[in-house]
Amino acid sequence: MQELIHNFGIDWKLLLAQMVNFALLLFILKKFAYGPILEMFRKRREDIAESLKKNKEAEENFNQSIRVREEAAEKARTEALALISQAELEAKHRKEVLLAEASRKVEEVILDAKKVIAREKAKMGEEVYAESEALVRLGIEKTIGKIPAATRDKDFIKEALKELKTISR
Amino acid sequence: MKYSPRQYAESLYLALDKKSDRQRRDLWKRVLLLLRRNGDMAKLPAILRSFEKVYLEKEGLQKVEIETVSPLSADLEKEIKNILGKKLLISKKLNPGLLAGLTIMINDEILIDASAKRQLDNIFAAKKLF
Repeated sequence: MQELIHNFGIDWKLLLAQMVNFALLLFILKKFAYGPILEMFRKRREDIAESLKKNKEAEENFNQSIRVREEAAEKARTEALALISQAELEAKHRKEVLLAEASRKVEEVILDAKKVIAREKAKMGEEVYAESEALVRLGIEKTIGKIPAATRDKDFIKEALKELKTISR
Repeated sequence: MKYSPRQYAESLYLALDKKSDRQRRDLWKRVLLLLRRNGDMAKLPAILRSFEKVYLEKEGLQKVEIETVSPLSADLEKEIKNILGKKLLISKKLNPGLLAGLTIMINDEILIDASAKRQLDNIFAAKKLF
């Protein structure tokens, strides 16, 4: 065994010294290089994870805001459609009311016009009648005036006396 | 106390009866003073109308107002008197507006209208119904 080790060229002292050097180097590396690098990697990983998380949250927020906006838009659209529908109904109703009112007013105007026409017609008739009556009366008066008094009054006197006799009985 | 026109008229008739013209004039003056004192001057027209009625009643007279187009003939007046029979107080008036015929009003109550105007009025009044 001793011989085998010797054949391999292993020097216990040198090996020990190298082991001590290695341990020292390992300690130094771990203390001043590997630890901070690992720490940096860990921090970097955490930052990336945090960034990813924030990114995901932002994406979710963005999606949420899009959904909210779409819902709001949909709601607004529905309300707008309802408003338009309501406005159309009201406009239709208003139109019907206005048409009915206009129709009623037209009928009133026609009725008034008919009344005025009837009144004017009656008035005209009365005027024509009055004028005719005056003319006829004038003609009769003139004709009567030309009759001699005795002849003119004869029948009237007879009528008056007859009535007088009836009363005095 | 307040008196009606009829009461004034009857009293006046009794007071005026069998009085001379001078006494009657004095009496009228006293009546006017009495009416003023009693505050009945506004009743004077009604009193005069009532007095006329009372006078006609008491005297047994009929008041007859005759309106004609031409002057009333004596024959017609006589015939009217014969028919009515009583004592009449006749007043005559010309009214060309009657056109023909006559009207006779008795005691302001009965009207006999035998005039052409009435007949014309009747004709035109009837026509207006159509």
